[in-house]
Amino acid sequence: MKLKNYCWIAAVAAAMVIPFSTASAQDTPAPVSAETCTACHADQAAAFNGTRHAKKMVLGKKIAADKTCEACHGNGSQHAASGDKTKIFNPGKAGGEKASEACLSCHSSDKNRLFWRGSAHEGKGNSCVSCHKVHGGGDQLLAKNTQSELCFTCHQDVKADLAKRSKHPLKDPLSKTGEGKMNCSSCHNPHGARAEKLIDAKSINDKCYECHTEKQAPMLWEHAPVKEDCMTCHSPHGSSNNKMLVVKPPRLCQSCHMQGRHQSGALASNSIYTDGRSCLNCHSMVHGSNHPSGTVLQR
Amino acid sequence: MKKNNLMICAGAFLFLAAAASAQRGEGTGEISLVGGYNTSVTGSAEKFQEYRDMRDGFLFYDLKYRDDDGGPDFLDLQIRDGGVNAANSIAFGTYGVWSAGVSYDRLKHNFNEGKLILDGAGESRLTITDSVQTALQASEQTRQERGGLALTDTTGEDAVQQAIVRGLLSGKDAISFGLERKNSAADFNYNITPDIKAWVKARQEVRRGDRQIGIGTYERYAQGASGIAHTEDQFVPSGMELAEPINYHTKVFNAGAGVYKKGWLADLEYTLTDFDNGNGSLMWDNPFRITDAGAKSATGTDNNAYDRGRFATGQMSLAPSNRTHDLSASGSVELPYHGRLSGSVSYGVTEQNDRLLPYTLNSAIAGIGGAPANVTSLAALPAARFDGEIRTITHSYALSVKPTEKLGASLKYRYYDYDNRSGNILFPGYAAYGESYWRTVRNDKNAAVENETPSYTRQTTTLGADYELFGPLSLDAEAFLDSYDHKHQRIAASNESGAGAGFLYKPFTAAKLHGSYKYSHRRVNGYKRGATAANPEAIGLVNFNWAERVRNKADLRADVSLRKDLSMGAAWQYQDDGYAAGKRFGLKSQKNQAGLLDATYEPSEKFSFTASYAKEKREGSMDNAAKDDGFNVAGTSLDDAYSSDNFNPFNYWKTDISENADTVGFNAVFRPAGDKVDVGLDYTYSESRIKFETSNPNADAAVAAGYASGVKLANAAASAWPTVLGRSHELRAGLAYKLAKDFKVGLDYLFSWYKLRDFANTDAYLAGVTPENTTKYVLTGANKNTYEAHMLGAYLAYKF
Repeated sequence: MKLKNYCWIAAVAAAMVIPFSTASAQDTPAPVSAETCTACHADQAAAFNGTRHAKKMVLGKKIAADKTCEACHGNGSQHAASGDKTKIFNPGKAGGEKASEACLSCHSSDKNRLFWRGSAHEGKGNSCVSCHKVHGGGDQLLAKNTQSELCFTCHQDVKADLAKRSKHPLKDPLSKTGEGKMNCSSCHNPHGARAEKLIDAKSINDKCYECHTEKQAPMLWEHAPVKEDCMTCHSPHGSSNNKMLVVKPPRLCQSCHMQGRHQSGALASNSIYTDGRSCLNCHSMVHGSNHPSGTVLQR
Repeated sequence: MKKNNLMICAGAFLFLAAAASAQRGEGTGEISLVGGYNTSVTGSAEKFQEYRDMRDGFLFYDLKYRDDDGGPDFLDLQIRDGGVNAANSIAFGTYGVWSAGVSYDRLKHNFNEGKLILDGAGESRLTITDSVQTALQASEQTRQERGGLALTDTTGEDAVQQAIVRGLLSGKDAISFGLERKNSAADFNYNITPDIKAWVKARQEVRRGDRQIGIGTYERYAQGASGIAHTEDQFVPSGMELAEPINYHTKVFNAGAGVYKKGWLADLEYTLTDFDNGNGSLMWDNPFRITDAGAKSATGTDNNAYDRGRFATGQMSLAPSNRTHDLSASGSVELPYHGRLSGSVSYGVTEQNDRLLPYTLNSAIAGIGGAPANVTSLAALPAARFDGEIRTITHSYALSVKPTEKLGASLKYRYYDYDNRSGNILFPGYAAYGESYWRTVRNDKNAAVENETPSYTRQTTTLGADYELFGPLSLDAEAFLDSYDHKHQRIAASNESGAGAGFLYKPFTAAKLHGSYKYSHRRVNGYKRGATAANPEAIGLVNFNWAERVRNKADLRADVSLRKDLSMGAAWQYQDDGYAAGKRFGLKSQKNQAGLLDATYEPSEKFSFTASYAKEKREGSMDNAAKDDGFNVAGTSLDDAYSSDNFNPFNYWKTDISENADTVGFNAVFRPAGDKVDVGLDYTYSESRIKFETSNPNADAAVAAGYASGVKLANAAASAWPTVLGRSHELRAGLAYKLAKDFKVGLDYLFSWYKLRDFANTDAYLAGVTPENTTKYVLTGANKNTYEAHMLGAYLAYKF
């Protein structure tokens, strides 16, 4: 542990002394007009100009119509003169922060990117163009047809969860035969968020309450883990158990409860303690009860 | 059907208006008409339609229209009536100046189909005819009549009751449990200047429907054998599944304003969430009683342990109405060294002060065992309302810097304070044992009947850095501290600290290898000793979410494009949690692993193929013991430090749960004639198997001590649970043909097949099968999940 810390500190110190790389004035290219770019890149220009993004740049961000290419790619005189691909900045080929720099020059003033820097996605070397196709793409310029298709490129375990017994309505929201209309971004902000796991809320529970508002109220008789973390008992992407539970009751409940006799039995499979809703056959108010006689969450 | 016609007319009108607008060159759009849909489902249609609402026949599906050619103004219109996917919205405005939108959508969630012997599903009062209650009560077999054995039908009355209930169930039509959400929303955004924005949003959601909810109690039959008390405890519950009415109305209002500059931003917003439950309580007729009665002893003494659940009318409280005010301020500023500091602070208050319900409606317990004489009256309560209040304070900050091209670092801090300021109410007692008994101490804590107000504060600090070691290789490291401080809970605090490291290796543009490993250790302070009022659980049982935990977590992912047309990926995820080492009971370990493979082959625009496979394995292990009133192991090798409580090592049992899940899928797209013909095929197969292996670790010692079954209590005997198996196939096929540049026709086919084998999904009425499946417990049987569905439909799509 100590050795690792020392190595890390040494690496930080070493990196600090490496000078910034700066370009000399004579290397600096001059701007050209969008017309110059379009002369060679007509297809890209047509695809880009058809997007809402292009219109927002010009009409919203007040970027001159003939500067839209260079707003992201940098000044293009040297590239235009030589055709040399190395003389123009291409975010699609650049990695990490460099690729995102052009986008963030506008979007860093966007509240949804407040926590992009240092976020889990940025930390894994992703950039804006890892997920967005700026020259075209559908709504939100996604590189795939749907959000879920895009996210599942890396998060295949989540895709597998959606094929399980219980899950949220995330599957194929755009299809006529699909299920529901939630998207990954219904809960997560892929650009960084206040809460852990890129949850776009004050906490995981606060995100759940947005749809399950009935669970938010303080209750006369509380079940403490409920208000602390819904994920103590639920697996939100999907589960092989009913109700997205992490473990099948009664074993889930018995992981924490055994003070009485019927709670502590090994319990046969053919009994009301394991059949149906198991413990919830009687203790149905497992999220808390507001009944004066609800101390053990039965009313 | 009328609604469909209306939608079609509205759609046609909007389409004509949109098409006319498009003709003038002002916009673009697309309209889809779906017809000839035919869905055939064998088995549980509710499971197939869980989040769907596929209807046969003709339906107007989708109209999208966008008008933003040339000028600064825009208009977006979407109308979709695909049943469950209904989503209608209109947004308009001027780029960079203002925008407004209105939307309406709905979402169905079908649960299942079952039978309820009561009438009034969906309402706040469930009823049954007096004659049924009278007949069932007349054939009630009391503990006094039954004798010592739960299943002994000494009077034949069990058989009479069972016949009545079975008759009721067979005569009832199945009802569908489910709910529907209807959302409507509006928003207005205004740019006061290009950098200063303000907004107002309002949303309301109406949720209507019903779902299963259980009510019940238990009785313990101590069937002493071999002279040891409770050797064969049998727990005989009575109760039933009811239909909980869902009648929720949520209103959300949000307003805010902020300054959004290139180098910094700051804003302030306020959110009000108001939740109203139109059915704050549910009342129901107890089918087994027409008159109130109390629990009695084996000899007929009042306020005792047997003959529970003898109320004529029951009442339970449902989710209380509540409202939350939340004020948030956020800001961000650029710093030197490519740095940025971002933060967000929130203060929230949630209140609920619904009127409390009476202790019980069972008048027979009034004045008995210390119960107030007016126990069924609200006046008997020490408080009319529960003044519930939660205050939350949240801080989230992130500081990131990149002092050199190669080095980046970030520091994040998060503070979340959940302060439960609800009042404490001391009750003189409460109606227990199915509202047939007055209890003056909490039976879960053996303490005064007073509510608790659990609170906690969580703080998380994370320090991370990444460094580009040389061209293709970057390293990263992270250290974190996650701490909780609890109030009014059985734990005082926990601190989890950990560190990890990872790498990203990109030997060439088309290849990437990423790996990481993290170790963390959660330490627990002040976990209250068991078998006390502060922690009523067994000594040595630790809740896994509050337990000491050692976690090892690793993942590895490789992506490579072998050729321009072929890319492949592989990943492995591993997490191993060890809980509460040395502790006696509870969850001991949980290990999850997943292996993931995917490949994409795209030789030309005419053909593309992707395939994926996921294999997951989850293994958990828990230790437990059946409670025994007669702890008599002293002097044997099993005698342990906990011999003061009632958990005898002869009755120890443990369960290992393992789940294997495999998911395989592929997607193929053929475009044999450019964009003229489009054929798509998508298939997913998923299978999961959950095995439960329960054993008695001290079985040999128990046999040596003279217990023939290898345990002292029958309750502790390990019994085999069948494997829970779930399997699904889903195949989607689509054929689209472009008749003209803007006109497309197509066919969609869906095959969906699901089979679930879960021993818990039983029939509605299991009376007499085992002692625990008594005459007086009636489920709904709303748990049928297996189905096979085929759906075929055709559509027309026109782009304009």
